[in-house]
Amino acid sequence: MKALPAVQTPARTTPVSPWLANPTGQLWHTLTSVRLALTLILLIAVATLTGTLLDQVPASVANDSVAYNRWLEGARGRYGVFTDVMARLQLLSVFSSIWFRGLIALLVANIVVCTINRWSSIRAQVFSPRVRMTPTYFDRARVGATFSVNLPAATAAATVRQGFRSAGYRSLTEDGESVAMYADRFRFSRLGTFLTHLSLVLLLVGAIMGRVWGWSDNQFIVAQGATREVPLAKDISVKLEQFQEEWYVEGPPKDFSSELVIYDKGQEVKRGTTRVNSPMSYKGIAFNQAFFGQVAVVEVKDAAGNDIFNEGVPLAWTSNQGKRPVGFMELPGQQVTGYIVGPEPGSYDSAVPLGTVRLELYDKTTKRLVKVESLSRNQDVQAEGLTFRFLRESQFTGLKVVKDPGVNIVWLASGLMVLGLVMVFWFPHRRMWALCTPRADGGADVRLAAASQRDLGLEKDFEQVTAKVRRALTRRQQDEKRGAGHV
Amino acid sequence: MYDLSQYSYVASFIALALAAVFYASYGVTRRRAVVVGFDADITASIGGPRMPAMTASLGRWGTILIINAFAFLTGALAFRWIAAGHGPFSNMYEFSLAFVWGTLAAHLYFEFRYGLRSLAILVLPVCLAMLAYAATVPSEIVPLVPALQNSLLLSIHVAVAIAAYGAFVLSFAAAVLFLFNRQDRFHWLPRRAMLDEVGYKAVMFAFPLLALVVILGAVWAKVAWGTYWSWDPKETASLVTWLIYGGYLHARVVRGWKGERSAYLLIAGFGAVVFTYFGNYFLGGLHSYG
Repeated sequence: MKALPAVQTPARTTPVSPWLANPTGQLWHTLTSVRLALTLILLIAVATLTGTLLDQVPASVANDSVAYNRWLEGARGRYGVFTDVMARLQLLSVFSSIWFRGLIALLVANIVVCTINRWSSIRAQVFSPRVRMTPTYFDRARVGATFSVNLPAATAAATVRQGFRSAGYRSLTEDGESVAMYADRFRFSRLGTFLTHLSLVLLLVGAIMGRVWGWSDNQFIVAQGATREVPLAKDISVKLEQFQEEWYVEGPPKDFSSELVIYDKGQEVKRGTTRVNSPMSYKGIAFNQAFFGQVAVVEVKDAAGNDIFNEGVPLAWTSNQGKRPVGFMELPGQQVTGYIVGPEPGSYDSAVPLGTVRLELYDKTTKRLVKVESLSRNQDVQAEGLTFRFLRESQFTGLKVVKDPGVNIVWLASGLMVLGLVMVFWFPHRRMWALCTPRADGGADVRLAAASQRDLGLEKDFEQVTAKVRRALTRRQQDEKRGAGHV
Repeated sequence: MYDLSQYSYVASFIALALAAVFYASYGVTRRRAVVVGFDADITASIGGPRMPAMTASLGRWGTILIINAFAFLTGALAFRWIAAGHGPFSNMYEFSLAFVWGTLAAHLYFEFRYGLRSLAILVLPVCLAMLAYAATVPSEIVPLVPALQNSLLLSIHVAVAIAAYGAFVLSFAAAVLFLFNRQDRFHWLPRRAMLDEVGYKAVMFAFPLLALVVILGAVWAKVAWGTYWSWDPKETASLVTWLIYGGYLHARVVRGWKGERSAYLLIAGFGAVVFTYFGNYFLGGLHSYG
C-alpha cells in the first residue's frame, strides 16, 4: 500500500514522533493543519461562487426527469455545447453535488480534529497558565517595560497586583526568590473558537436533520371555501375561509392574507390568519403564505342530472403558450378530463374574454384534445354528454407547508456561532507577565511584558496597564517614604 | 421630511466631495514635504508635530468636512426614516446612503483611534461613487411590499450589514495601500505593519457582524419564505463573502499567507461585498427589491 501524501505543515518544527510514522498518524497530522482549513474554506468559497453565478437546477425540477430535461434544454440556450459536461460535473447542481458534500465533510473532519488537537493547549492557557517567565523572556519581549523601585520585592509585587486589578486584569502570583506574576483579561475568549467551530458542525447536524426528517410542500393550494389534506401529513387538513389581497394606491402589493382553519384527524385544532411575515404553525408544521391566484367554480352534471363535480378549480398553472392561468379538474368515472383556462391577466385576451373561462376536454386514454368550449357565467354548456356550468370566480391561496425538525438546532448553532465570534474577536484574550526581582540595596526591579504577537490593541492595552502599574508603584513608594519619615 | 432628507443628502455629497479635495491636497503637500526631506519621520505618527502648518490645516479641514458629511448623511437617513415610517433600508437608494454612512463611521473611528488619514485616499472615492450611484436610482419612498413588512428584522438585518460593510471598505483600503507600499517605500503612507493591523482590526470588528447578518437573513427567510436557507443568489453571495473573510482570518496564521496574500484576500472579500451588494441586479432571486 502506498503511503499517504507527505505532511505539508511545518514538520520541521515538530518533533517527529513514532505516531507520525504510520499513515493514520500522518492523516491526523494533515487534518490538524490550518493550511488545510484555509484551502478547504477557499475551495468552498469558489464552489459557492460557482453555484451563485451558474443557473442551478431548481429543487422543484430536480426529482422530475421530464421537468429536468425541459429545464436542461433551457440551460442549453445559455451554456451551449458545455451544458452536458457542466451537468455531468454537477456544476448546475453545486449544492447537492457529491464534490461539494465531500468538501464539507472534509471541513467537518478538519474542524473536529483541530478542536481535539488544540483542546489541551488552550485549556492550559485558560485554566492553568504559566505564571513564571524567565528573565530572558522579558529581555526579548517586543512589548515590555521596566521600573526600579525602592520597595521590597514582595511589596512591589503586591502593588503591581493592585495595578493589574485596577486595569481590569486578574493576576496569579508565584513566590520565590523573585516574585513572578501572570495577569490576563477575557481568558474565556479562547473557548470562543471552540464554540464557533463546533457550531458549524452543529449547524450541519441541524441541516441534515431537516433533510432527513423534514419535508416541504411548496405548492399547497386551497381554494376559498375548500378543505384539503396536506399530502405529506395525512392527518392534517387545511380549510381556506378567505383569502384577501390589498394593494397600495401606488401599485405595489400591501398585504396577502389567508384565514385558515387547521384540522387534525378531522377535529378543528387551530384557526387564524397567515400572512407573508407571520406564518401559522401547528405541531411543528409551518404554513407560509407563498402565492395566490384565481379560481373558477365549476359545476358538472352527467346526463341523468347528477352532480359529478362542483368545486373551485384553482387556476394555479400557466399555459404553455401565452400566460393564461390553467387549472385541472378530475371527472371521476368519465372518459374525459377537464382543463379550465382563464383570461390572460392584465391584457385584453380575445380568445378568453373577461368574465368567461375556456373548457378543454381531453380523452383519458389517448390524451388528445377532444373538445373546446367557452363557458360564460351561469350558462349551461353541453359537451361529451356532460353539462358544464361556470358558477363564479373566486380565489385560492398558495401555501408553503414546511416541517423542519432541525430548525431549532440550526438556531442554537447560529447563536453559539455569533457568541463564539464575539468572544474571540471583540474580547480577545490579553496576557501579561511581571517579574519582581529583589536588588542588593533592598529595592526591586519590576519588569513587565506582554504576549509577543503583533497586535495594536495589545500594545494600547499594555500601555494603559503599565500606566496603572506605574501609578500604583509611585504612590506606594511615596506612602512608604512618608511612613518612614514618621518613624 | 422627504425634502429635508434630500437636501441633507445633497449637502453630504458636497461636503464629501470637498473633503476629497482637501484630503488630496493634504496628501500631495505631505508627500512633497517628505520628498524634500522636510520631515522624513512623519510616518511614525501621522499628523505628528513637525508637519508643515499648511498640510496640517488641510488635513484638519478634511476631517471636519468628513464629520459634516457624516452628520448630513445621518440627517438624510433620520429624516427619511421619519418620512417613510420604517428603517431607511428597503431599496438601493437607501442602502447606498446607509452604506456610505457605515463607511464614514468606520473611517472616522480609525482616523481618531489610530490617526490614520491616508486611508481616505481610497475610502472617499468609494463613498463618492456610492453617493453618485444613489443619485441615479429612484429615491421616492415606496411603500413596503409584504415580504419586507417586518420592521424589526428589516432594521436590524440591514443595519448590521451596513456596519460590517463599512468596516470592510476600511480593510479594503488598508489592503490596497499595503500592497502599494512595498518595503515601506512611500514614506507619506502609513507603514505596512500598521496597514496590515488596520485591515485585521476592521475584519475582527466586522466578521461576527457579517455572521449575524447572514443568520438574521436566515431567520427572516424562515419567517417570510418558510425555509431558512434556499441557496438564493444573494444569500449565497453573502456566504461567499463570509467564507473569504473566514479564509483571511485563517490565512493570517499560515506560513506563506501572511502579508501580501492575506491582503489579496481582503481585496477579494471586498469584491464579494460589492458583488453581493449589486447582486440583485444580475442574479435575480428572492432579494430583487430594486
